[in-house]
Amino acid sequence: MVKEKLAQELQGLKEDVEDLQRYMNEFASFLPVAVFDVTLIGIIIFINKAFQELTSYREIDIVGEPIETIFLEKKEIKKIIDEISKKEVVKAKELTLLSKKKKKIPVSIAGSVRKDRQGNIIGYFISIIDISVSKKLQEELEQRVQERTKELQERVEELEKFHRLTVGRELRMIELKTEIKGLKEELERYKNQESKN
Amino acid sequence: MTDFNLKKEADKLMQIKGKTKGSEFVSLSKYIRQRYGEEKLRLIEKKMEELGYPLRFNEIRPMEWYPEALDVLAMIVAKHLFGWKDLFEVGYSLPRFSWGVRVFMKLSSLERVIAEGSKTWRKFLDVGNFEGREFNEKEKYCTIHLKDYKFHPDMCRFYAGFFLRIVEYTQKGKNMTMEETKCMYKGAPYHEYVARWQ
Repeated sequence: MVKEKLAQELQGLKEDVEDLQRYMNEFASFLPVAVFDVTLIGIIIFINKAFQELTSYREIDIVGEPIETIFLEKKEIKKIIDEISKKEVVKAKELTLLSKKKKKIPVSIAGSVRKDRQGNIIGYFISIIDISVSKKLQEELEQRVQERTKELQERVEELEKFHRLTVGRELRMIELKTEIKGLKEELERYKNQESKN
Repeated sequence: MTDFNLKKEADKLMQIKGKTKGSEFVSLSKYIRQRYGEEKLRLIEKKMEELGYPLRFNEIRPMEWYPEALDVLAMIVAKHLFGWKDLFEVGYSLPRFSWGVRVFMKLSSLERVIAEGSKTWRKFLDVGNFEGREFNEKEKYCTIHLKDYKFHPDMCRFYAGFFLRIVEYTQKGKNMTMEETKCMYKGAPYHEYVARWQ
């Protein structure tokens, strides 16, 4: 009786674990964000579907390889792993992902520690967000700002030149007016002197 | 190997008792699927049926227990069908797909694998004993004994690959190697594997 009950309980637990495993697999596949986990020494041991789509790497290509394999900035990713280890969670670090076809993709990564039941760090979870579209928009925007700034600078220079010219002409006119006035006065004086004589 | 010899070998192998978790079949199916495609998986199933030991990978439940001999036979059949030299590459590749190995990785350092790996082994196999014998960080080597496991000589190379991958997952180092230094098929009381790195 007890044996039967234990067997039933064990069967129930097995089914629960299988359901949990299936749930985790489906959830990882559904996630639109590329995620993977690495061991304590930085070896990739799991990748999800979005990771495969982003990088073109399948499990057979990349699981078991060091994390540096997929980033251009080899030293930087090591530093980020150290930082995750110290802070437990790190967000929004920009790096360049290297796809299987060696395409460089700007990404923002976030990471968190993975712990065992005793609270010991046993690895890391990493997520990757492709920021190439926003990066491109940002670059285009910066380019447009630069072009517009150049245009405005040229316009300002033109205006300054015009200003200099108009102000110079104005000053010359004042000078000429003053000169005419002086000459008129001199002429008057001359006329007066003539009439006295 | 002729079909006749394969049948004889299969019959002999299937007499050996011992069970493994279904998750190990799942890992093998994922490996075959990614390396060769779905069709080749069906080819293995067809051959298994011809040998009198049907196996449907899609019907395998990861947490259920199945004969270890069936798992070993599936690998030998694959070796026969695809012309593999040995099973080293399979052993080395399966951890990439293995749920069990991801669990195993809670033993985050090689020192812990050596000290506590036997418990994890038992979660996936009710046969054989994994014994981590020595971990020498200074001399850069470790020794593993695999006891009471004698299914097929091809499995010696399988475990050389499998253990090498586990060492690579947990130990920093370059040019890692795994060598079987004692073998039950050569009269030793157990299989001994020595991993070295630089």
